[in-house]
Amino acid sequence: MATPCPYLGHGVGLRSKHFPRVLDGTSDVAWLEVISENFMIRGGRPLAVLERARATAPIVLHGVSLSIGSTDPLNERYLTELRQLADRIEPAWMSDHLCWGSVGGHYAHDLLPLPYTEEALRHVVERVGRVQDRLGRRILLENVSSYLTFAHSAMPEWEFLAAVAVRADCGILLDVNNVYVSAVNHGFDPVRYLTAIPADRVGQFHLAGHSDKGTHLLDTHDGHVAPAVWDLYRVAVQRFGRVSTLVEWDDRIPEWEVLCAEADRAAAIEAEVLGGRCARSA
Amino acid sequence: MLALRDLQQRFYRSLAAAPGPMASEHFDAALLALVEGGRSLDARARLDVYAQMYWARLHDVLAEDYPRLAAILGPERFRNLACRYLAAHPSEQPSVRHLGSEFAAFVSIDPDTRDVPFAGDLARLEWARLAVFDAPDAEPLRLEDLRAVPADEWPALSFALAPAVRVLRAEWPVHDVWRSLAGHAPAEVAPSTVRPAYTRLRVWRTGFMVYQASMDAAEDVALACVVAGQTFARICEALATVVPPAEAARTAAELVLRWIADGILIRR
Repeated sequence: MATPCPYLGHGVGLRSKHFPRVLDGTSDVAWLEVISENFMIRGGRPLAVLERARATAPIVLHGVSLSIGSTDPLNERYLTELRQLADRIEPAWMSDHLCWGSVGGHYAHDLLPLPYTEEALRHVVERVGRVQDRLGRRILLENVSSYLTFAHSAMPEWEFLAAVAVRADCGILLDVNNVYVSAVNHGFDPVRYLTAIPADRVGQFHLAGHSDKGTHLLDTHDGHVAPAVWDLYRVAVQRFGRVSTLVEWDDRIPEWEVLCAEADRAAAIEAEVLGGRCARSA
Repeated sequence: MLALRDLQQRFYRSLAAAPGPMASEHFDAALLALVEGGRSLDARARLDVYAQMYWARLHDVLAEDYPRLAAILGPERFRNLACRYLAAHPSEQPSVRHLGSEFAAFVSIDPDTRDVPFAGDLARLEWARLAVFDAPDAEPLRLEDLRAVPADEWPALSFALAPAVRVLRAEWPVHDVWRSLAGHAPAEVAPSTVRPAYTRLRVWRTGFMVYQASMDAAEDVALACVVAGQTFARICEALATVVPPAEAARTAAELVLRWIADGILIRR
């Protein structure tokens, strides 16, 4: 499978702070990503805003609670409601995270790390297949920031992510900030990570800010993209070519213009790296 | 080595066992043995990053859903209350939208909020406003629709409430507390200054805006009839128990017009 994602350019995550920009028609940006669960509701302002936004720009649905790596049964009601939202909004594509977040019927509402074992790989691959069948489309899975690794992992994260994508026939949402955060936290080379990811599986990039806690980096999405992450983005663009790129900003959200300026900076870097070259590198 | 399910169960139990600085005391030993340490953080500290985020994130959800209760209790008391609630009611839904669904009931019986006796009612009002905010859309009944109804069909006429309406009955004037807390420092509303008063509220949404209004006995009785699907004639009969019988029909008509102006009635 080639990635199911058309190239949309450089977009931003839409959060409620900027709903007025959508309602007054000034949310001028190439595309928007929204958190799926925030719109799996039955009515009111959020859904009206999303439908208005959909009329002006492509929308991508980005979930946080699929819990693809959980050993609980897939949540059928969740999948039904997600499918209903997708049928209503017709997103350009849908994504969630390569992690787990629930067990025993309880949700941690976090993106928890998997051990990179053959058992976990088989488990995730089988579930991705069923989710894609239920949703009637391929999904992208995003690499998460992590703060711990398991001693019994049999392969590095990048190998696990690539294997899931190939064996489950899904796409990859490559979060460049998450690669960097995890690289610092676990002491691996982030470029090595990027090099191991199959280019034809990468349908989207994420960029975001993180916080330096002294002992570790925390994926906080509360500030500008860090210089080191911009550098890694250059490497990613060099390796993967033109890939739709999205700036996430979830806490201490700035004015719309500041948010869009971050997306513009990503666009400028892409243009600088690729010049007139449009094709993906193999 | 742990099987994946065993690992996840131990991981979740470790996160959810206890909040705060003592969280790591409760980490599962078999799980910790599998976590790799590093130069700057050992295994316990690494797992603790997740534990601290678990409690902080869910606390923040409750603080966002119950901002005025959080304001009147203050940060520390609210954090402790939220942690007790989360320990008793771990999230069972994929969306955090439902996390606080039992919070008002929990607050009502929580011994630590006894000195804020209206805390439970205030929480119920805040939850009602959230429920109304994203309730299903519906086409409201319009004045023109009523004008088209012949006079002899009015007695048999019945209505339904729009989905984005909630009726709240409270022992405290929580709508006043809610209003006085908006934009003020919490210290400006001393719990001891609030006096109990039986309060009937309706909370509704018009367009994207959420409103609330106190109801007198007549509106409460009449709205209860609407909820029960009773006819206009029955609404008049019920109103005759709280207003002079000669004024019941006029009062009913005035209420229906008010509800239509607020957009809270739909066709039955």
